[in-house]
Amino acid sequence: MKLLSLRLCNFRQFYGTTPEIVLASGERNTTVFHGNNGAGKTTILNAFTWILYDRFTAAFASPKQLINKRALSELSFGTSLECWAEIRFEHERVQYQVKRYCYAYPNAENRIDCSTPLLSMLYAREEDGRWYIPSEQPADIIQGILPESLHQYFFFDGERIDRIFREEGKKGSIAEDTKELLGVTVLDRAIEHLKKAKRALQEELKDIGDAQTKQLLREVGKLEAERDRILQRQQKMEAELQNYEELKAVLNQQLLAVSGAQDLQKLKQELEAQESTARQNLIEIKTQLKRAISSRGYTPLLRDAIAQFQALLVELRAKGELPSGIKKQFLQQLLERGRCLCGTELTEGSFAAESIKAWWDKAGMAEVEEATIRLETRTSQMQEQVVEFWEEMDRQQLEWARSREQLSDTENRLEAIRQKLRTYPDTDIQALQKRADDTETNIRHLMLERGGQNQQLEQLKSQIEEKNKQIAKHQLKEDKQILAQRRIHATEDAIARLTEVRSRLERQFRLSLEQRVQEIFSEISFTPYFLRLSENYELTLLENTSGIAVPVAASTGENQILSLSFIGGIIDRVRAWSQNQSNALMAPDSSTFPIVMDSPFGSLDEIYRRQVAKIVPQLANQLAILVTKTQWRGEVEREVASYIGREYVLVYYSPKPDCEEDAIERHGKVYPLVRRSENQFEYTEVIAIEPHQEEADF
Amino acid sequence: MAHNLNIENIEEPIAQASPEVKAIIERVLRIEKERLHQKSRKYINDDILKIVKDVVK
Repeated sequence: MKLLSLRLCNFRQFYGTTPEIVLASGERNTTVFHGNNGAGKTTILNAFTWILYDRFTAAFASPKQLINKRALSELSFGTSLECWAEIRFEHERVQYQVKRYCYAYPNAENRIDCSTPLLSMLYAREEDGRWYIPSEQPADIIQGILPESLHQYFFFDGERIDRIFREEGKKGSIAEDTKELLGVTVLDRAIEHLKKAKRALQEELKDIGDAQTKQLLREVGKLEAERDRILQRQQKMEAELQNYEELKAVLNQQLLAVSGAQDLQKLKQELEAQESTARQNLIEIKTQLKRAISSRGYTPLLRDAIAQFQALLVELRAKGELPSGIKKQFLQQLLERGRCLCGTELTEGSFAAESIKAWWDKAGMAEVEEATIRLETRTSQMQEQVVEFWEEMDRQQLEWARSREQLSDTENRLEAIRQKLRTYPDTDIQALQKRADDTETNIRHLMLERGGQNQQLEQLKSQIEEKNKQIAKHQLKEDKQILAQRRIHATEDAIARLTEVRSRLERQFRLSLEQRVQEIFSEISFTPYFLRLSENYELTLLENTSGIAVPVAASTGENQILSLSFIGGIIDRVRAWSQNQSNALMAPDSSTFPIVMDSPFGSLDEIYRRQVAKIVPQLANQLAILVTKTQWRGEVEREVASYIGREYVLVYYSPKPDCEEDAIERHGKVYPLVRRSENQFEYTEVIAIEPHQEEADF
Repeated sequence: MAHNLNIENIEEPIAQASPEVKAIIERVLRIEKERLHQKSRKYINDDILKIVKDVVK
């Protein structure tokens, strides 16, 4: 989606129709809106989200009062007033004009009624430039271009971005949003629907199949029903687990809020974080151990065989049989030529020929000798590998013991704190801790149940595979049956391949996203922290000064930078994925993303403001930032200057008689920021700043 | 610069499929993508069954 322009009419502060606010793109991709507090910066951001998704950001006050007050005051009975916001954007060489509008009209009691907002859309193809009304719903078209669930990554308030990632319950949805953008959702749906198609085909086969096939299909059906039952139970359990996790977080917050328990609770939370990291470390060590044993665990078992082989070689060399002086190939050639090297004829049955044949059993084979040399090299390498293998085993075991000890120490300290909270001389604290204990127990039970079910699922999966193989082996005579079987096989194959594509895509994408987010974060932040991105797309900041990775309690500023890095990383990686796909079957068509950002530098200090200002125009294809004079001045102005394509001032007209007027200077010209209103209403005008000569030439 | 996604590796299972299976996958993904954001997703199961029957004859 490439944003082209925005227009507003009687929308909040904006009285009447604004001029067309053209948005910058290309090399100078940044549009800057200058405005003091109250001038309508948040309104501009919300105009985008209102038009596209009928949504408002958290900082947008009184979202029900959309219509400009001054325009409302001019309404009289029998007339109506229009309020609208309109965006033009381009996508895949098609231009769209999207408008959301509503009407206000005074009713018989002289009270103002407002209509429900409506959405309209026109589109024009590049080739003929004529505008048409689309046959699909405008909201569906917008969803296809930039899904609503993802809008918070592209239109956001810089002071609140850290909350996108910190709010409980949001974490799971970030993973879902990202998967949708990536095309994993399309793969999931394809797999789900192909499974249904397979069932329908199996039903058809039941109707035409012979008795044994029918019996096998019935058995497969039962096994699949059992598997589906477990999967449904697992889904419920996931929801229960999430609820318990959320409850745990709430209880932790409450314990923090109760006076007297804060210090213990803070310590408890730190230890819980350490406990979870230590468990993660143990899992990783175990995985590495398993990998080493499964790939190189056979090497120590070869010791005796290698020793036997070497003894055999020594013996053969001592006898002079290796290498042998004469080769069978040589004797073969002499007999074929019928003449010895000394010139004697070797006719069949002659003494000379028989003498040559007598050598046959003593001669060596060239291939055997070559193979022996190769084997000798390989076995000596294996002996070295045995040593390396044991060294690695010792190292991993040591690491395991160290992590185990650390975990056990953390668990003991954690239990001691919980015990203190259980017996704390305050019944509220005791009760909260008891509930926290119960929640932990429930989580543990669910985890155990999940483990058992996973094993059951594995068994069922192999039983189903076995039955399907039997069905495949079963001889089918009828043409119809053969065709039905072929269709079932093709569907099964398609499901298996899509499942594999899905898992490769998720794994690779997450790793490359983690790396990209780390790059952006390191470019902005001067801390030595590094980050991890879990399978649920939860970001954790870690530090490693003590040699062991421990989570960092990030400040609000760090969290804002982390969130910004994540958004930049997502845009960058999705863009790479959708541009490079050999056939755009999964990923979105969009490889162009805008960012519209209110208060882009949140609560950052000077160094971070500079770093963010330097990097933010490079994160997306287009950037629109809405800034106050203080947010803009100095380092931000210098860093963003070379990216600016368009600039606007939001001039705020204040009805206060003693209001302090304000202005901003750009390219040697002064533009008002605050002015006295000529009536009792406050309103805002949009003025385009004349470009600097360099920009104008651009 | 972050390491690039190995597109070939991700799409390998589709690329190596038999022509029939490849055609099923491509057609199914196309209609799933078209209808992902449409509120009414009726008949999609029938359409997918139809794709399999059209391709494997």
